[in-house]
Amino acid sequence: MKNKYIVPAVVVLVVLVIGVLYFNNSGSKNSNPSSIKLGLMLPLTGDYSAAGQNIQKGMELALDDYRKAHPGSSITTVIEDDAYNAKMGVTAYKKLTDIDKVDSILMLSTPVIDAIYKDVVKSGIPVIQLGVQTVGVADDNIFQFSPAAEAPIGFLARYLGDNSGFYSKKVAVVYDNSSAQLSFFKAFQDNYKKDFTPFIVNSKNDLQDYASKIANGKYGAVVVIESPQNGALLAKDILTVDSTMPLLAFDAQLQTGFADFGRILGDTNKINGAISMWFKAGKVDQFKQEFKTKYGEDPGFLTDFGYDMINAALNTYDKNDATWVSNLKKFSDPNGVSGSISFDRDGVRIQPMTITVIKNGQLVPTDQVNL
Amino acid sequence: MEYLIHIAILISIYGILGLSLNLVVGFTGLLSITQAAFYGIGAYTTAILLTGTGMNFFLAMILGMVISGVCSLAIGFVLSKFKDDYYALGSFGFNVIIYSIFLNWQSLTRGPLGIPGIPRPSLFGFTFSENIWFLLLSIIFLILVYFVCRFITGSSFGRVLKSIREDEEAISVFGYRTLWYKLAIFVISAMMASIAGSLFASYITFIDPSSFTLSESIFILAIIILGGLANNKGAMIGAACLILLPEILRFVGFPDDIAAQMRQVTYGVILILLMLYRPQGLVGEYKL
Amino acid sequence: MVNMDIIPQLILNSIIAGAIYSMIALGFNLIYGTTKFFDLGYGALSAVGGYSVFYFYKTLGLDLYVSIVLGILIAGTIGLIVYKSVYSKLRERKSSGMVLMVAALGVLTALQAIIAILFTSQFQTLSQSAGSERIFNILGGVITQTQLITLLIGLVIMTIIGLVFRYTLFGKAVKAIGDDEEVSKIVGINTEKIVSWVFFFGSAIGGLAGILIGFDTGIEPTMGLSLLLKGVIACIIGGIGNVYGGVLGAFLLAFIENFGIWQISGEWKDAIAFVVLIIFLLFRPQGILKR
Repeated sequence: MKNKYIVPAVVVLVVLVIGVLYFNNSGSKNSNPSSIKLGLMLPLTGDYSAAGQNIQKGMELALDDYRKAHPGSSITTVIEDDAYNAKMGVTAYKKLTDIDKVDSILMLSTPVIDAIYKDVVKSGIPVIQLGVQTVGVADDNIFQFSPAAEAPIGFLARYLGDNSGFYSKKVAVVYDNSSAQLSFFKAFQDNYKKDFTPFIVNSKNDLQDYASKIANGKYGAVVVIESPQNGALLAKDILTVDSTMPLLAFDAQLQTGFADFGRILGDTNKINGAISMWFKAGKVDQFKQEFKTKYGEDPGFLTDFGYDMINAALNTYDKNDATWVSNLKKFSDPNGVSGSISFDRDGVRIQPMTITVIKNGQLVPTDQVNL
Repeated sequence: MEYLIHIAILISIYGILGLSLNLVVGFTGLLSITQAAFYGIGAYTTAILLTGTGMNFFLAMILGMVISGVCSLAIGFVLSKFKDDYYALGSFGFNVIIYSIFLNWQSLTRGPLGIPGIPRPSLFGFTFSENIWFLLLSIIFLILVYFVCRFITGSSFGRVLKSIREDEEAISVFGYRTLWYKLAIFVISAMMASIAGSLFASYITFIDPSSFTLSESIFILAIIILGGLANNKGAMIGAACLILLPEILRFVGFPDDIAAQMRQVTYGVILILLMLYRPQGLVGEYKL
Repeated sequence: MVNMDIIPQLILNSIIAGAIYSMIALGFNLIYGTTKFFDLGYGALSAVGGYSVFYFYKTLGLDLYVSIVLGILIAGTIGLIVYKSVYSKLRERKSSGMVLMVAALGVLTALQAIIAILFTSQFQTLSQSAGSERIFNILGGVITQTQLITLLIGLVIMTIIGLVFRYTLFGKAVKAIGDDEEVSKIVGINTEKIVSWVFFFGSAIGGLAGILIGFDTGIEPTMGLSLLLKGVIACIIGGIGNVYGGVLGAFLLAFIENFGIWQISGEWKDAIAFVVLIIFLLFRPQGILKR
């Protein structure tokens, strides 16, 4: 191809693209009032793709269930990848709102919501965000589907700080150098009034060295604020080096990702006696059954949240955005798979919490734990 | 139109990045894979100054260029001690080191939490909050950078750079202090990348370290190789293509459950095909 | 107060990590030594090896050793296919290292995405349940059976490659191509065939490294790039083109990384590794061992 044809070829390509975009999607701001168009903006590639894929699976299951329960309803979804990155997320957001003209967006990524929240507020469509929103949290059309870091982690920190069976030991706190877990760690730091040593994980290799350090340093208690697989790897490595496990305390990530944790650790009986944060969940067994039937595996990390997000959105639907938003603010479902669902004044989820103990390899809720 | 304006802004920003890297890689022949570091320094300086002190955007941009310039002077000096492939590796190394600083100097950069709420530029009371005005601003900077690059590469300074690329020993025999030229162009390139960073930070309003990784540097390199090394127009066309390609792929009907990954596969395959069938780049002059 | 008890364990951790890195370094050294370009796609082959074993061993339930052999062969074959369909053609046209690198980038992106499509992005582990492995106590440190096997396999491979290079005609041919490909052709060496074998073996070794990592920690589709970087650093420190150098560099890197976090907090590990690399490049650019 001769050089002089390149530039005109590119120009023609660009014009074609613009044409395609506009003819494909012009004026389709939901011309059919009884159909709902949801935008699902998830990290499907990159470091958080495992979580994104899980959430997508939970969402697809919820859509299946909804369609079965409401035959004749018309729900379409547009799925875009934001790779847990602000630039990709802004691009995806613009495409979803400008080209696809979705009625609502369900998403996970914290950096993305932090970048787009002003535009979202202007647009008025309800946006349900799973991850933490760190800036601009207010009474608006953005709903955070996980509780603010303060709530569950603060609860855990105060609980542990009140238990001499825990704090009298040498305490290590292990967390990832990522935005979500850093927020959790800060919440822990603010609420745990006793001494501890932090261990920051940058890559999986660190876990092995930290396990050695923890075992050798005679740490009697470890707070694990980690993704389920990293938590499992850490537990595995500690077990290898030191057969007397320290007392482990997990944050709520363990509960939603217990299947993943078990898959990596192998035998969850090895950590009997460990403590975990727990959100009182609803019809979990039914969810697990359906998930297994549809996908052939146990529901993994965050699948339950994905399921609930779709239900929350669809059960409060109204074709008027302001009404839909107001319905969401008032929404309450004590039987959400990920736990009871309701929002506080700023649209942040409130979840009743309790402490669980691992007995016989399973999470068993308990009100009193003797450490 | 919002979506298209957004794409156009991204193309302008990456166009500036491509032009800046082209000066070092295409014209001078130095395989530098650390452009994202200077991009990041510009972005972080702007972000920190704008959110922390409310300084004017353009002033912050200039400060970003200064800091980028100083860092690149030091880095360029160390890199100049390396030959050929080791140069590339050393530059990788600096990218990783600077990325680590963004990630771990949390009292300054807030680490993985990133810096949100970066305001848009304002000048004499006018704020570039509408995206269409920001696009105009980006295009103006792109054009400025383009003309500076054209000037540099067309001048006698540029001829020395090309000679360094072709045969450094020969030209140093003639009395040209090649180190000075290499450092100068490296610094200029870093300052331009910093401009792109400032624009990026203010446009997206949120930055975190994940935008300035080694992969980003590799992406910028791919832009100029695709567009055609040592060709200023090529750098901009390369940016346009590599930004547009994934966007076009959004509209290809892959099945939902594997769409995102299929787009990656297609992207990878297209890169391979482009290298197989057009290795000199879309408008390349420098026959590789 | 410095805790000395941990040193034996850190030493063991370093040796294990070093064995894995040295495999990547060996494979990369082979490929780079002959073709002289940054094969970014090489990292993906570790994921290919790891996931192949995952498929055969965990999903299909085949015998462990059969799965591993299959995994290694598949990694090698895919590496060869990629070479034949992409890199070989580019080299025929004397394309520069940069063009090859972008093509390799395309290969990396595509391969990782294909693996993610086939297996999802979930982190998987190849090994058995925690605590059910045999452990050995060595001088105050603990090593699992898998890790020991990793170590031994690593040593065996290094020795074999060292011997092959020194004493076989193939090894000498590879070295010759690395020194000067044109001259090698003139002298009558069938460079295309040799380089093809190099890609096959190099990729197979890369796949093996991925498999061993899968047993030691686990695998995910994007594991390739950072692993490759470690291998590249190891090669540079040790001396590119020298088989033993890559191995030496790998162990050195592993020691720096593991002892680095003994005293300094973990986040700076990567930066430290690269600072050391740069210092090396400044004062001993040819690496520790000569070609």
